[in-house]
Amino acid sequence: MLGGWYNAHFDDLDKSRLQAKAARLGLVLSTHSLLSGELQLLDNADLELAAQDLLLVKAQGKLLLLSCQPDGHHPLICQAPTQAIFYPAKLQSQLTPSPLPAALSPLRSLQTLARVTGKLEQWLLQDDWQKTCGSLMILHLDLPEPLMFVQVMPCRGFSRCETLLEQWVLGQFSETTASKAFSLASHCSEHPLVTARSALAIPTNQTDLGALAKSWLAASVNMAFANIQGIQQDRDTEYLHQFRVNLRKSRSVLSLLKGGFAGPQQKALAAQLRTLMNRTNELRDLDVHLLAEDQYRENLPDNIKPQADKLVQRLRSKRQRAYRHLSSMLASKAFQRQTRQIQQDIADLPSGPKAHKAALEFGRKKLLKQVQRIIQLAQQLSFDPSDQQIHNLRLACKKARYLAEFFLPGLTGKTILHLAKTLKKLTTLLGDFNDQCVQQQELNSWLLQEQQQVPSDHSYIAYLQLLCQHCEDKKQQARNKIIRQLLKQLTAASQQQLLNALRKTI
Amino acid sequence: MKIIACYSNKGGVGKTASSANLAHLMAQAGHKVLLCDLDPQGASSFYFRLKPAKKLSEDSFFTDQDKLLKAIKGSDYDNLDVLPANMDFRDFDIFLSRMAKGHSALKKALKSVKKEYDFLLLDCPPTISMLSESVFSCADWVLVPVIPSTLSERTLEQLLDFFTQHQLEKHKILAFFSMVQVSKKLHLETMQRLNEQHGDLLLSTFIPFSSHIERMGVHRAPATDFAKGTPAAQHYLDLWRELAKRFS
Ligand SMILES: Nc1ncnc2c1ncn2[C@@H]1O[C@H](COP(=O)(O)OP(=O)(O)OP(=O)(O)O)[C@@H](O)[C@H]1O
Ligand SMILES: [Mg+2]
Repeated sequence: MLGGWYNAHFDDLDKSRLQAKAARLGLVLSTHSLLSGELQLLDNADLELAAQDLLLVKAQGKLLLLSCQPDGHHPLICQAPTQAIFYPAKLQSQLTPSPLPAALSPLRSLQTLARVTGKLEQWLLQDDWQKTCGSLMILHLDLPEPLMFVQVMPCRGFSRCETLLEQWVLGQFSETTASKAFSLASHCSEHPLVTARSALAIPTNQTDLGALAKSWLAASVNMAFANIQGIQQDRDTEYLHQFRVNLRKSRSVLSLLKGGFAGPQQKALAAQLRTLMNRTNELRDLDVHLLAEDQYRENLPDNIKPQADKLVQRLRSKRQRAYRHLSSMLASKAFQRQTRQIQQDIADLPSGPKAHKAALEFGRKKLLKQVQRIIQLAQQLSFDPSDQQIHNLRLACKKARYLAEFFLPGLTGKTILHLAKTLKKLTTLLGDFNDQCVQQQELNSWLLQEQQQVPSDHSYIAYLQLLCQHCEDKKQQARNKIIRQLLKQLTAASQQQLLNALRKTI
Repeated sequence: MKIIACYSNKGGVGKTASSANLAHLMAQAGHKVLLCDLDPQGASSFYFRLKPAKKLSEDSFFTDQDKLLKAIKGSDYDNLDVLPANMDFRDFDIFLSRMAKGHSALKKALKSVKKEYDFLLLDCPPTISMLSESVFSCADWVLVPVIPSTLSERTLEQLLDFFTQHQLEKHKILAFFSMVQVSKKLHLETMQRLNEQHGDLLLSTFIPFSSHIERMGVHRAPATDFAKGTPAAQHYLDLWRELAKRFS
């Protein structure tokens, strides 16, 4: 089986030569366009696929995996999800072969590195009974330097046809371009999110709170800023998300380790970060709404279905505006000054009253207090808690989760691991609940707006009302899940165990 | 590897149509399948656009396992290969007798095929030859299409008698109704009666009489491909699902 990357242009392929050679074997060439238009190159942040000379391409709802290194069992080009595709072991568990685009959402660790136009064709050689005796897969990417991936797909028992195809391919191109996948992917990803992933320093018994807090703050702010280019290029919503995740982390370092910094400067910096975050709220909200597109189409009676398109269309144009707005802000001189200023302010942050304290002890004591607070809040919950009660619990869990992330790494005790897992699970559930609350607010405001329109669009209003109903149901489901989880994880015995284990770490 | 023989001592009952469609469905389900066209007329090869191989000198074909392997052709479907017909009736007799002998070259050839395939589907020619015994003993399952007409009881009973006489395992027999016309009272009555008498070896899925299946020869492809979504294809899918349950 022959396949590889070639620097050549599709139109330069000598089709007639192949036709003439085929005719001598009584075979006829037919060509079929499988895909054409925009193709997205996907990989994870470490370019793990490309490092194995694999390229994952998404186009028109299909996934293709291209490889120059056949492992004997898998064809070089295969189409997912209809056929099992060869995933590197590490990614296997994250890729579910189910219909796109839903399949892509659980694999957020994969991101779109680039969008290029291109086409995929299949060339078949058939005999006079229209039996396919061999075929070629040709992927062409419209890059400044034209690039093609060509693969001979053999058919058992038709070795003469295979030889013919191989000879033709070898005659067409002077040489293959080795490891093209990696250079291509990195070419498409000259981008900090993909290259820079500094981990936070792990504290030891000797680390001072002040120094540690400052290094974490600098690292997470830098990681946030590393996404700016990606946001501007708008290749993937993941960049904005990562920007916000890291900003949020910086803000929690600032507030949870407050005593490490001098009060007034700490407050000023916190305010700056908050403003920065708020400026991205609108676009992120719209991204979240659009990622939940499927939710807006679920369980609709036939007569209402067209309304979903209307909503999605409106969201898209709103998003377009929000994106333009944010990206011109990001490109402005003022913004660049602001980011430099923030980095400078962090470097200059004066130490606070607790800066000399041992970081580990400080952080773990704080975590202990936070866990005690969670237990207290959880005990106050009735079986039908108010939104506010759940909201408070969510904030407490989030703080505890950050503290655990910051101050427990390396610990492998069973109870500690259990704590980390419980916090993760709880924050996810609480996050789901919060998402539904936000969604509900948003839907209500859309509904209100729509009801004030003259003349009013009755079907659209009915649609929004239905969505509100669905949202209320989901909110209730999320609420029930939280209660169940709390009952399961926070029994009296396990509470005591947890607190004891935490005390021991201090 | 499981060997499934599609067999009936009656001609034209849908053996070839069933072999081709089932082979296609099995392959689609992810199993590696080799469809062996044992019919000298090469009907199932024809459905997969494969020409019978050049006449090989019969004997070496079976003694030389390389030759057998080389004759296997890839179909246009993933996971599905075909061993096209290239035997005359004499060849077929040899084939069967070799199959019966434990140490024969054929057995060795099958062994090398064994690693490559999950299912070996034999599309048998209609023959009442005593050599059928070899097929029955080497197959894990014998799939028998039955047209529910007056004569079908006789054929099924003949087959059962044959199994009894030769001390073959009757539980290998899986029969199903083929070319059923639900508008025909006779068909329905026969099906009911046979179900009462031989319920244990009758599958519950039947294949209806369908113009889509008749047209396989025009399209030269399994109906489960070119006519997927039609009731006929759906019945074959149901049949395959029922079989899959039995096999596991
Ligand atoms: N379910 C069906 N509905 C309509 N026509 C069918 C059906 N099954 C098979 N046929 C047609 O009936 C004829 C005989 O079918 P088929 O070749 O499958 O039978 P067979 O048992 O393999 O015959 P033979 O004994 O000659 O090998 C063919 O023309 C086929 O197209
Ligand atoms: Mg036949």
